[in-house]
Amino acid sequence: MKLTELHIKDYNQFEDFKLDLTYPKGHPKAGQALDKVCFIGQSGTGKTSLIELLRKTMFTISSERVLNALLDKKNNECTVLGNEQLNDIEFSRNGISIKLDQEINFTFDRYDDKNDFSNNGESFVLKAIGLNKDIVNLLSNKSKIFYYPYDISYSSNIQLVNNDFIPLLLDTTLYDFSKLSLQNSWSFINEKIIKDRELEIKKSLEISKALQNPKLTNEDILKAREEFFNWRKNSPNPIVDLAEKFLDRILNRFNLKVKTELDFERKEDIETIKIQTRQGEDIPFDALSTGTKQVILTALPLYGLKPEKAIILFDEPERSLYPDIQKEIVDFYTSMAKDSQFFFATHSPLIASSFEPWEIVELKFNEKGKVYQEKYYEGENHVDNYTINPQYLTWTGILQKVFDLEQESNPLRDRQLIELATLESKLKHNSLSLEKKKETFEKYQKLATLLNWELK
Amino acid sequence: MKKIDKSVILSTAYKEWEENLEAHQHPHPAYNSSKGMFYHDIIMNLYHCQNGLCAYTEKSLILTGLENHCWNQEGRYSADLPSHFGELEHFDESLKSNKGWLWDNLFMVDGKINRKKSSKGIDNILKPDLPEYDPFLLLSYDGKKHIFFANTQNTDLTEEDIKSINDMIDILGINYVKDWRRKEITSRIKALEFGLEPVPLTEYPTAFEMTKRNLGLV
Repeated sequence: MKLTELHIKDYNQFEDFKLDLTYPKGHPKAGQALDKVCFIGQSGTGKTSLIELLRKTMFTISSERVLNALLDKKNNECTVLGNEQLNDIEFSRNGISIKLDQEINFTFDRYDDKNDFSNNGESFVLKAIGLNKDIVNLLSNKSKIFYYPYDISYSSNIQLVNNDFIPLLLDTTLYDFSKLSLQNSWSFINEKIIKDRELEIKKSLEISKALQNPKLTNEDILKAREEFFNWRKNSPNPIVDLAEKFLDRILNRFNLKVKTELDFERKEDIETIKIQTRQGEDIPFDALSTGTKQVILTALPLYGLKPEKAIILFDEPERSLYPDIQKEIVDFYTSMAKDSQFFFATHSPLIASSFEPWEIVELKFNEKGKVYQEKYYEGENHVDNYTINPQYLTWTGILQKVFDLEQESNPLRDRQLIELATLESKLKHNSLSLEKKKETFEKYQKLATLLNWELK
Repeated sequence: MKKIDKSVILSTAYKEWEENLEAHQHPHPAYNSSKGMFYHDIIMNLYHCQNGLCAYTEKSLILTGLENHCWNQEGRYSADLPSHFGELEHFDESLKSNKGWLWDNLFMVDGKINRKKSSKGIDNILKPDLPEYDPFLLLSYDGKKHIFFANTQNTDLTEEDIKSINDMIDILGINYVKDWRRKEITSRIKALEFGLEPVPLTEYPTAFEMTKRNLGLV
C-alpha cells in the first residue's frame, strides 16, 4: 500500500497543502505511487512534521480495529477517540486527507462536538471512501510502518529487551525506532540464523546417516553432496547474505566487516552481531563509531523483516555519516525493501542526489509564512518539462540549484580568484623580466593549487 | 560595473532639498531608510540612472516602474513603489551619519551585496559615477572564472592601484553574482560562436562586452 496523494487543509505551517505523490506523465511508471520521496527545505518548513504526520495517519489506518469500525459505520465514517487507543496522535486541529494507490481515500477532520466531554480534544472524525473488506484485510495485514526518527538512540545495552517494541499496539504493526537497541535490531536476524543452523545440522545429519548405509553407491554419495550444496546455494546463511549483499558494502569503507564465521559454541556467539576489522580483529560494539552503529542498527530490522508494501520513514538519514556513505545510503536502504515506499527528510545534498526530480519535495515559505512545494517543472507535470535533475548535477550544482545556496564557495575564495586572474594576466600580457616571470609563475601555481583551479 | 550617469534628476523636489542642506552646510536628518521623506523618490531616480541594474554587480533589480509618467509636476514619484530586489546603499558608509541623504553617495544595489559591504573600508577608485571612472580602463574580465579583476594591461595603473582595485572589487561584491553571470553570458557567447543572434542580455552588459572583446567577437 503506497500513498499517492496527501492533502493538508490546516496543520501547523501547512494550509491547503497538496502533494501529488505519483510519477509524472512520460515516466515508465506514470500515475503510479512514487517508490521514494525526499523532503528538503530550510529548517522550520516542516520536513519532520510531514514524516510525523505520515507516521500518524498510516498508523491509524493500519489498525484493524479502526478499519473494521469504519467498515461497519454508515458512509464509512466514524469518530475515533484519540485518548482511547491512539494516545500519541493529535489530530484535533487537522484536516488531512490521504489517497492510497488502490483508489482509497481517508480523511481526518477535527471532532468539534463542544457538548461531548468524554474526549480530551485529541479525537477526530475519520472517513474512508472506497473501503471494503478486502482493503481492510490488505491494510491491516500488509501495511507496516517503519519509523526512524532523527533522534534515534543507539543503545548498545544488549541486556535491554524493550517489550514495547513490536508491536506498539496489538493490531497495528508500527516499528518505531525511537529507542533502538542492538538486541532489538539483532532479534530480527537471530531467529533466522538459529533456524538456518538447525536446518544445516539436520541436512548434515541426513548426509551422515546416508553415508552409513552400506548399499550406497558412489553416485548416491555424490548426489547427496550435490543436494546439500544446492540447498546451501539457494538458502544462503543469513549472516553471510546480510554481510555480502548489504552491510559489508558500507562497513568496508570503515575498514570493517561483519564476522560471518560464527562458532555456535556458547550462547553469546550468536547473541549479537559481531563486527571485526577487515584484517580479522574483533571490535566490541561499544567501540564502534556512531555512524557505524547507525548503519548496522537501522539495516538489521530491514534485512530481518524484509518488509513488503511497507511505508518506511527516515528523518535525517545522513546523521553521523561521511559524504561518501551519504551518497549511497538511500540505495542501501531501498535495496532492502524493494516493494515499499520510502519517505526521507534531509538537509543533505548528497542524499538528495539519489532521487529523481519528481521524487523531491522541496518545501518553502511563501510571503504569508505558509509552506508550499517548489515545482521543478514548467507547465504540465511531464518528465520533459522538468528543469532540475539532482541526479545530473554536480554537488555544487545541487547546493545551488536545489538547496538555493547562492555562492559556490566561501567569499574568501572569490578574493583569491581575483588574485589568480591578476597573476595570470600579468604573465600573459605584461613584459616581465625572466626572474620576475618565474617568481610570478611560482606564485600563480601555488595559488592555483590552493584554489584547486585546473590550469588550462 | 558600468559607469553611472546621475545627472538626470527626476526627483527635483528631493534634489532641491538636498542641495539646500549642502549649500547651508546643514547636517542631514538622521538616515532611517524607508521613513525618509524622499525615500521612494531617491530609489526610483537611482533606478532610472542605473537602468534598473545593481550599481555594482549589474544584476537586474527592477523590471517595471521606470517610466517617466510616474513623476508628478512637483518632482515627486507619485506611484506605488514597484516590486524590486534592491537596497539603498551608501557608497561611503562613513558619510551615513551626517550626510545620509547625499545624492552623490547613494546607489541602488542588490540587498545581499549591500549587507556584505557595510563593515569594510572604501576607496573611490571604483566609484561608478565619478567622471574619471571607466570600467574598460580599470577592469578586466576573466571569461573562464567569470570574475572582474584589475586591468593589469593598463600601464597607467601602479601596483598599488591594482591592489586597491582588486580590494574594491571584493568589497563591493562585484563578483558575488559570478555564477548567474556565467550562465547568462556563456549561453549568449555560444550562440555567437555558432553564428546565431543571441537573446538580448539586459543584465551584466560590461562583463558581456568585455567577454566579446576578449574573444574577438566585436
